[in-house]
This record gives sequence, structure tokens and C-alpha cells, in this order.
Amino acid sequence: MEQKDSQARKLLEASAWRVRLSETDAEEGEHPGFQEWIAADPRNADAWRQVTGPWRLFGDHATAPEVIVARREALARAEQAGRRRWREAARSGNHALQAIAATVVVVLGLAFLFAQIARPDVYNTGFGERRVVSLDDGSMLSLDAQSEVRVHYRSHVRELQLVRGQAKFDVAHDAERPFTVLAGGRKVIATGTSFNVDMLGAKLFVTLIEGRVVVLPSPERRPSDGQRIERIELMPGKQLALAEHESPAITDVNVGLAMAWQTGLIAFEDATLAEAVARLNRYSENKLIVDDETAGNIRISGVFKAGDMSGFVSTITTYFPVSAAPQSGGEIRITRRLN
Amino acid sequence: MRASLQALTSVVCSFLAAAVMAQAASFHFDIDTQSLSGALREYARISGQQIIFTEEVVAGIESAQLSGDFTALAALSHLLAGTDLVTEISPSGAVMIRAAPRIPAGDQTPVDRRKKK
Repeated sequence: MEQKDSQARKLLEASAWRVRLSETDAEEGEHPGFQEWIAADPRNADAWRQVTGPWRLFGDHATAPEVIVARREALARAEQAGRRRWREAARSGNHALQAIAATVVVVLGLAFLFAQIARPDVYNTGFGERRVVSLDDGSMLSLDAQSEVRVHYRSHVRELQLVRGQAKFDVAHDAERPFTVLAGGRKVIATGTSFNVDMLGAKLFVTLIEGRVVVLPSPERRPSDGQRIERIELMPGKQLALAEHESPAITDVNVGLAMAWQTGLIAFEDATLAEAVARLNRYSENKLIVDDETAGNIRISGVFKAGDMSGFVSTITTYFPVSAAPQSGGEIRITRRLN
Repeated sequence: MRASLQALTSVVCSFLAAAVMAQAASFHFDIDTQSLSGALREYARISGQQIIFTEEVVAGIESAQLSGDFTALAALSHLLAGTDLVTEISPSGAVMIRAAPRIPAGDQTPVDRRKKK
């Protein structure tokens, strides 16, 4: 009778330790009290194995704040239930133990679902709009016009996704919680740093302002046949350009210029007119269309004000042999001037 | 300053007409010696002056160092001093940089002597 009772108690103690360790993010061996508890009784190690087995199934979700809360409640209920059932357990074998374990597992399952349901925060901007968002951990998110970022923070990882447009990420340092940005089939991983991600048409640009980032293919694009995963590490002042069917290109950039969009200036260095137009279209409701290939391939350098589309049109039609024709839908079509 | 004022009159004569540039506001420039291409963009970022050019036009040209407080006009004439580039102002106020059309008798082809390649 005494034996059954203590076995149930061991299980509950082990559960309590699991919660405590996951909350402090401590490794199993790091907590002195835990080591003492394990050493105190050989049955403690057994109880620990029983408790941590199912726990591992929850993997990434095991340390999410909402899971921790749910788990603590589950534990409190299990403890109450356990106390009531110990007396019965003494009579009916270890069914009560299984009941307690089952309760814990069921509630963990609910907590897992809860974590899955938790929606990311979505931030977006319209034409010509810029937005700066201060995130929970002190990181700053700066969105360019026509951009969308989803933020999904968990206790062990900060997951973001650039759905469209451009954003700059000033990441608060937290080595325990990597900061990842998914964009255009890539995953950018940082700890504490400042970087910019720009999705422009079929191209993806990652610019490192300070610190260090690593760029990997996003999980669903990683080779399944055991091929080496392409891993690109960037240094400050470098820009990585990625496009389908092109090998990655890393170039030096003037960081101030690359970030000038934050003050409403857009800089180009030997861009095609088509690229320049794609970028400037973010800031204007009156879109430019460059479907004439000879016009679209004209090379342009310079600095322009975001949002001053009519100014840009008058400048390029004066400087280049191109003309502009307003379309019925409000767009302006740029074509090579014939003469 | 004298030299750049001379450059101002010879190279950027059309500026005086430009309302944008007539504003005497000065900016703090700190532009290292680099490709003229990079220097012009940095100049535009600091001054907010819109600018258009092509890499072909500025190819092979190094810019002089520019450090201190200048008006947008003075800074640009400093950067372009000694080049054969000319500037115009677009209808919307952007600086347009072109190769000077040099038209010796019987030759209609523009030539830029400073190009290194």
C-alpha cells in the first residue's frame, strides 16, 4: 500500500520537475535540485523516464507559453485527482497511476492543439505606407509599402514570415531563441542583428546591416535525397540576391542607400527599368507598366522619391528615349520611343 | 571653393534656373573617394536631391572626396568637377547627368575623354 502511494507521488514529482525545467529553459543536468532529486531515490529516475517519454512527442510545442500554462493547470488537476485516487490505488493495483498518466497526456494533447490554433500576428501596409512595429521581445520590425509580415513568437523560437514586399528586422539579442524569417522559399536565421529582406517580383534580396545571418532553403525546399543543404552566411554590408534558376550572388552594398526606403528614397544601381518600376510601384496607386522589353531592359541608376510617380515618369521620359501613355485603368504604360 | 565655383558655371550652368537647387539649405556630406556612381547616390541620399544617370555615363570615373557642409548645388559641382559630364534638371526637379556632347567639326559622335576603358 505504501509502495503504490509513493510510486504515484514519484510520478507527480517528476511531472513537477518537467514543468519547472521547461519553464526555466534549463538543461536536465543544470538544475542542482533536480540532480539531487534523481540521486535521492532510484525510483525517481524511472518516474522521470515515464514523464518525459510522452513529453518529447510534443517537441517544439512543449515550451510554448500557452502550453506551459495549460500544463500547470493539468498538473494541478492531476495532483488533486491523484490524491483522491491514492486510497483506491492501494486497493485496486496501479490503475490509478495509469489514470493519472492518461489525464496528463490528454491535457497535454489539448495544450498541443491550443498551441497549433494560436494565430500569428499579421502586420501589413498599403500603397506608399510605411510602418514600424515594436515586437514583444524588443525587436523592431519596419515594413515598407505593400508589405506583409507574420509574427509567430514561441518560447524557444521567434518565427516570422515575409509574405510580400520588404521589411527590415532589428533583432533583440537572444541566443536561446533564434529569430527566423521565411521569405521566397528561404529561411534567414539570426540571433541578434539587423537585416533587410526584400521580395521583388521573382527575386529575393537579403541585406545584412550588422551582426550575422545564415540563409537556408525553407524546410519544404530542402532536398529529401540527402543532398547537402545550401547554406549561405552573410557578412555586414553584403547583399545576397536570390532568383530561381540563378546561382546566389553576393555583392557589397552601401547600407545607408539600401535602407534609404525608410526615409522615402529609393536608390538604383544599374537596375533595369522594369526592376525600378516594380520597386516604385509599391508606393503608388498609379502603377507603371513596362511590358515593352526594349524599354524594360534600359539600365538606370539614381535616387528617386518614393511616391512621386508622376515625377519619375517625367524624369525618365526626358532622360531616356521612352514615352508614357496613360491607360484606361489608370496605369501608365512606358514604351520605347520610336523615332 | 573658387575652383568649384568655376566648375559650377562651366559644368552645371542650368542649375541656376532650378527652383529646387535655389534653396540655400546646406547638408553635411561625408563622401569618401569612390566610384562616381556610388558618390552620386550617396550625395542624393544625403541631400534628398533626386538624380538620374546610367553606369555607362559615369563608368571609370572616380569622385573627389567631399567632406563638410555644402548646399546641394555646391556639393554636386564639387563631385563633377573635372569631368566632362553635364547636368540638366528634369521637369520634376531631378538632376539628370549626361556625357557632354562634344561636337568637333565633321564628327557628330559624343566623346568622353575621361573614360578609362
